Amino acid sequence: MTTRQQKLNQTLFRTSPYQAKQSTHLQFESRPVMEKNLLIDTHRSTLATSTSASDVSITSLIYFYRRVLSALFMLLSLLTIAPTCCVVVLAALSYMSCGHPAFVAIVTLLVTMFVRSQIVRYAPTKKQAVRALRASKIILPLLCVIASALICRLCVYVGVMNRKIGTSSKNLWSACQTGFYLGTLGLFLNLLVLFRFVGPLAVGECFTSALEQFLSSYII
Amino acid sequence: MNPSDSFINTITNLSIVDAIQSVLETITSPSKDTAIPKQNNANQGYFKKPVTFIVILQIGFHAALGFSFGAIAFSQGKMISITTAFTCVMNFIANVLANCNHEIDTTKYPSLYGGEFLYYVFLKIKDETIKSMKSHNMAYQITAPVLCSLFFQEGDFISTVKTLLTAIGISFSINFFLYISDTTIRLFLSQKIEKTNALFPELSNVTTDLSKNTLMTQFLTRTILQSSEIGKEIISYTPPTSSAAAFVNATNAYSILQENHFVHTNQLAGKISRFFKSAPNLHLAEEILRINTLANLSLPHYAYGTSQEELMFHFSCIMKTLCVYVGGFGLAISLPVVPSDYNKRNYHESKLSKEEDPVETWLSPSAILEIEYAVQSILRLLSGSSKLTKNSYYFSHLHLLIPSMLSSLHLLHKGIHHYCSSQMKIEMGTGNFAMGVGTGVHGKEANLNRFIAVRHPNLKRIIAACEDTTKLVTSGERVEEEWRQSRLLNNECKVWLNSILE
Repeated sequence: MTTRQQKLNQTLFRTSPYQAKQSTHLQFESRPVMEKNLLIDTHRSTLATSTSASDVSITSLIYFYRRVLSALFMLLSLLTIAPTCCVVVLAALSYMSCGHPAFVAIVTLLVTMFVRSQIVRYAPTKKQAVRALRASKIILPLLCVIASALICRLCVYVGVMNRKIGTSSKNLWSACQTGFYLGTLGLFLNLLVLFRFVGPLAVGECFTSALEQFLSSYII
Repeated sequence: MNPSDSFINTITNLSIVDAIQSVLETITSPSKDTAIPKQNNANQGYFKKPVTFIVILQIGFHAALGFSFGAIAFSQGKMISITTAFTCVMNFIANVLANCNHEIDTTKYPSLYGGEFLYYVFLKIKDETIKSMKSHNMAYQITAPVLCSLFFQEGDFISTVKTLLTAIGISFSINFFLYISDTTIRLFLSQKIEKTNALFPELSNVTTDLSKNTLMTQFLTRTILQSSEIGKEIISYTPPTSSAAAFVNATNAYSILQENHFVHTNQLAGKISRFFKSAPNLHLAEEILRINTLANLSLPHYAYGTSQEELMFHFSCIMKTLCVYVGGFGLAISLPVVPSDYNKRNYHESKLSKEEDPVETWLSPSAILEIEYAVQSILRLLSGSSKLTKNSYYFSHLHLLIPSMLSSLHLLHKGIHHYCSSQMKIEMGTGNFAMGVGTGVHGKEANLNRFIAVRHPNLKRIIAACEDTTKLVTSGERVEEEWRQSRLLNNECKVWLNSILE
């Protein structure tokens, strides 16, 4: 093998000059020698033992439980927080509108619907209407809430409407209690769903192999 | 009398166990009409039946927990508690057992990231709830427990009506919540993994790229093949990148090495096919991890590590693993087996002759999805590695595996055709699928292609992916000609190759 071929090897296969030189001799090596050199890599064989079946099983279990439990935790936290959030939002609306949250809600709903219908009606193209509706998804109701609360407050100042004062701290505490109560009840029902996928009674499956035994399979 | 005693007494008096058992039997046992496959859309498939004993225990568990829930949450007498118990049981039967819903169909739930996740959860639940409200299923789930609880009415008419209305409300709320909970879990489990290394916490403690890549390779190999022995064999058999590159020009040695890899991959595919056919009972966690790992590998941004040489080694190990997996799967679905007595009985009822008994292999949507991910991953890794080396991957480490790749893809293609032709025979026997115009080999092929397109669009996608990958592997005139005349590939494979390339 010439130096030219060594250079070619080096360029093409990004090998060191030593390796390029080596490759010229390897042509004439017998198969067992080659296997000794290439196929059986003792270093990698040793490394291969470091990840055992149990490691992967544990990882899969951690992965699985993390997902299942986070799904249930999300629901439980929503149940627990939802009543408190409702009361807080109502209290905020009530404060903004001098005790008329229902009025604010109705006005917001009506105005939002009206503006959206106007957007659809007057948009030059359908595409632009969709784009405008998408852009106004959050902003429009928010602006409507603020505007209607301000109108309500104005009405109270003018004297058209009466000022109402609520006991928000009491409501908040009872909402917290309701939240905890709902959370506890949700936990009970979540346990039912959890044991459909986890534990010795689990029936949930995600079968990814080709099924052979028709007796144990059925068709939808 | 405590609630559990009263519940046991109630159950004994009404012989509810018998009723539940009969309902279960009708749901879980294949009826005459459904025994012959009838697939109308891509998501339908064949599933393993849950063990009846476990199902009965689950029903008991649902009844007990539902009753206790009713007794604790609503102190309004026995009727409400019985309603809650029945609601939980009915929900389990209708939402988990009926329509094979116990099988988590990951194709139903797309992967979502960040803020859209919660929004999607809301939308999905809304859609599914409206769908279930429209079906008779929901009405049955609400009215059945209420009617059952009417047997335990106490007091005058007005109080009974009041309790009845409360029972309907409670039944609806419980059903709704259980449904949301179930959907959320399935949605969470079906999410793809964004970063593979996030799965393996040990990797964060490893400093060198070599160890990280080796660990990752081992982990992926083991996860995909579910066999540490085969994984170890693949890793120890794959030569280091530098050595492989040095051998490329040493024609004899390189071709021998390539042949060795080819034989080795085929051997492993044979081994793994037996594993597929024996339908092992893997834990749900392992199945979910495998499907999500393959989904991650098929993503376009899949890359790991910084060292090019190590990355090539990592790629070639994963590629070989995927070849073994794909080839093994192809073999598993193409090997004919002797039909069981149950199957024979159905064949006699249909118009099929004994000689034309179809293979007794059935694929679930998850299995099909997983193999699709595997083929996509091969394609991604090939394109990724060609970008990596900047030269054509023909000269890279992966070149060693090209015969193995072609052979595996051919095996999968053959397996899918075999599977679909047997399915077509069954459907033609029962009159669900009519043979089109055309005779001879071409007519049969046209019918099969039509059948795959109509009944198994997802399998058609896999076939297309196989063909794309093969085209990519054999791209370039010189390479194409080389593989058409390769002595490693059998004649059948060469014919297939020619049909794709022409």
